[in-house]
Amino acid sequence: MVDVDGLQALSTLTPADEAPLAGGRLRASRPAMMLSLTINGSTGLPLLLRRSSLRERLLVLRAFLTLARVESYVGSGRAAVLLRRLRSHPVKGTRRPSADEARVVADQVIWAVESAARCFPTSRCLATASAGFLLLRGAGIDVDLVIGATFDKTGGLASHAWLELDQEILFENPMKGRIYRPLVRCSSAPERAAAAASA
Amino acid sequence: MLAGLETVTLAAPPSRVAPPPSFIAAAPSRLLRCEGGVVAFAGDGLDREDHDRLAASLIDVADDEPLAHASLEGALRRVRLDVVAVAVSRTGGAAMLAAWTGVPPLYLYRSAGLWACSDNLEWIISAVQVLGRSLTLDVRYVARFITAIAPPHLLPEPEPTAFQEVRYLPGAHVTRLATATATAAATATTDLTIRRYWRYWQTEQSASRSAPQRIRNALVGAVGERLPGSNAGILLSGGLDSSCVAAATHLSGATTAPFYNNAFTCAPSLNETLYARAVATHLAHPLTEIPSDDLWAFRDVPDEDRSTPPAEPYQAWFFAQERAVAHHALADGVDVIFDGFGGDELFQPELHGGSFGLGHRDCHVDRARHLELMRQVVHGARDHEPLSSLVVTADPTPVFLTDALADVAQPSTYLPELLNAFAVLDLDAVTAMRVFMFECTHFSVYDRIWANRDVYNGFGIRRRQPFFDRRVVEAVFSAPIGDLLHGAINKPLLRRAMRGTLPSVVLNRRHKVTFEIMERRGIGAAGAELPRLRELMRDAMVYELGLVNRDEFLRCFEEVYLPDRHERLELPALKYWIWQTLTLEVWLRQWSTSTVFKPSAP
Repeated sequence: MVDVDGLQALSTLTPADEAPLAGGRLRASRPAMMLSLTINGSTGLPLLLRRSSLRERLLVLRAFLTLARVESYVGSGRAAVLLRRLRSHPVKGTRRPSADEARVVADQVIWAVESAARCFPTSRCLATASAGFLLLRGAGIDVDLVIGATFDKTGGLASHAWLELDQEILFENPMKGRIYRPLVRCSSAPERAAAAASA
Repeated sequence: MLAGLETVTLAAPPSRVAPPPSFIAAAPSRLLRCEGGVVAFAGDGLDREDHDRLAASLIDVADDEPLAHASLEGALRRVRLDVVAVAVSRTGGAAMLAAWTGVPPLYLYRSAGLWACSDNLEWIISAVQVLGRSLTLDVRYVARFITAIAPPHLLPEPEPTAFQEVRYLPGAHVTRLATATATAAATATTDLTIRRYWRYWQTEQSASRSAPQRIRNALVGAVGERLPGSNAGILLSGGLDSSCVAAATHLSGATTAPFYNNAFTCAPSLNETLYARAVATHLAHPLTEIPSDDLWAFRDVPDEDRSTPPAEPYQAWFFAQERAVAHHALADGVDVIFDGFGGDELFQPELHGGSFGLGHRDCHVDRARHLELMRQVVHGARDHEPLSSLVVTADPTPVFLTDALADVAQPSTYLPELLNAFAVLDLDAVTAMRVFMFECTHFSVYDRIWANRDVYNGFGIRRRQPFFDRRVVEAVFSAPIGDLLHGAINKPLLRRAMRGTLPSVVLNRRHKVTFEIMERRGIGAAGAELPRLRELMRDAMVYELGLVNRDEFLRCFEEVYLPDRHERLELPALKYWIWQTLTLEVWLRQWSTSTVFKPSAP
């Protein structure tokens, strides 16, 4: 689940909030946090990579480093900065894979991120979705990152972050796309992003 | 009438049409009269020599001869495929041999001086009807059915069926009915002696290096030996398991009918056809894509084409999809269809982790302790926690069950019973966990029986699962447990075994599809079946019979299945309980006008 307070703050934060001191609390330096996460997380890597092919190892390692980078934003209270960077992250290359090709690549990339996430016990959906978003866009696949919210049974706010390809949620219960109302969408299609913003 | 018994049972092979409601089993696969008695066989592939040897051993078991079981186990080592048998000795004793993994099934009817045994429950029902007797609803079965407690199919005790008078005999066991009471009025199970004949976990361990090849050879053999004389088709979903079966068929050198694939274009999350195409192209085999967008959950349930109600309420997820495959196969002249059932149970021992026989993954078993135990296994620790330390931490019982059922559907009492029963096998912790995962945590036996009986046999087609072949099971259990576990990849051993036989896009695939969309199309907020089911449950028989509380059920139904609300994600178990209740209601209504079985309150 996404940190709800952080989610609500996303729409109001300004660049000034990126200052190291905010809310009376000293934020950790992001590079230092990334280094710490990488070192601590890497202890779980041998078990993950044991008896894997070279291709699989490279996939997981790449996902691990991307996730460490994303986690360093979230963990140091810079979720708004992360979101801004995601929004401006382009889809790499000019050739767009077919729908089938895109699904096959997404299957591999999301698996690598899910596997690497085991090295970060506190990792949540925002971090894994963000890492998947960065890696898939880097592979030339035009995915959307969506953050949505809904009310749970007790009336409290529940939120979730996920990836969409061709407007369908990727490798999760597709009902989540209906149950959570999209609030934030990082998309190359302006109309989809605008629809989420207006919601 | 044989040897002083009132009935003996015999099993018939599937025919092109649904079997007639006849008491006399006119066409057993094979009936042998030998010196000591008579033995009836049914099932796949058994040659004459195997028959003779097995028949003699079974007669000895029926007569309770010393060393009979050792002789039977020796004879069974020559039996390759899935066979059931019933032997009646001249002295009146009887022995019933269940199949290796419980399919084909074997049912035993006992009531008021009569016993009958068959691989076909519908025939037993017909026999009871012809004799002017009746059947009674078994509340214990109903409770477990609704609560979705997976049956411990392979434990040494007969399992309940929907009828009190009928029991399912556990696979891998031989059951002896004591001579003195074989024809007596006793209905208790105390005169039954059930003994396991197959201990697959005792197979000699193979080296990690040779395990994949051994598994591949076993799978190729399992497919190839079921093919002679058959025109086989393969249900190819595009997933790893069915793709492996397709590759094994190809390796066996057999020519088969097209591969069949249910194609969903309505939602990419459902669509595996691209993988099925990749397999078909790789193996240079034709693929029949069956448009399945309109074959949603509960479509054509109940089956109006049936002249008699189905024998049991069990209804696997998408009847209409299965029937569409059967129609295509019939048109192609196919008589055997292979599928990939069993791949999860065999190669992914952690898949059902946490459910422990309770049928769903969020059943409140202490997952943290389970994971800790798995971690110890992976790291090769020798002093594991005992399996019995994994206890249920809450009672996931449907709130809409009435007291009459809730008392018999408490997993907190059921699970320790199951574990205690399992303890008699006296296994070390790792082996116990493997066997337990394989035998007691899934519904595949129900699925296999249902698919054959309620869908394919009516078309004269046999549906077969090579992963449940004896040699495949033994090959997998002979591999070191570490080969089955991987920090990031599921089914690593199967992937290794089939490397080079399938396209890499399939071998490296990581995610499964989810059927939520088809479920929603059937019974979601705008589901096609929703008006009918709502009407059905307004004044349902399950309320009249005192099985389900009406108000509670309707509240849960409206809450979980219909709206796109957050609770839906949190309550998959409740969703499943409602599904089971709906299928039970449909089944009860189909029987409501019958004379042989009139559902009545417990």
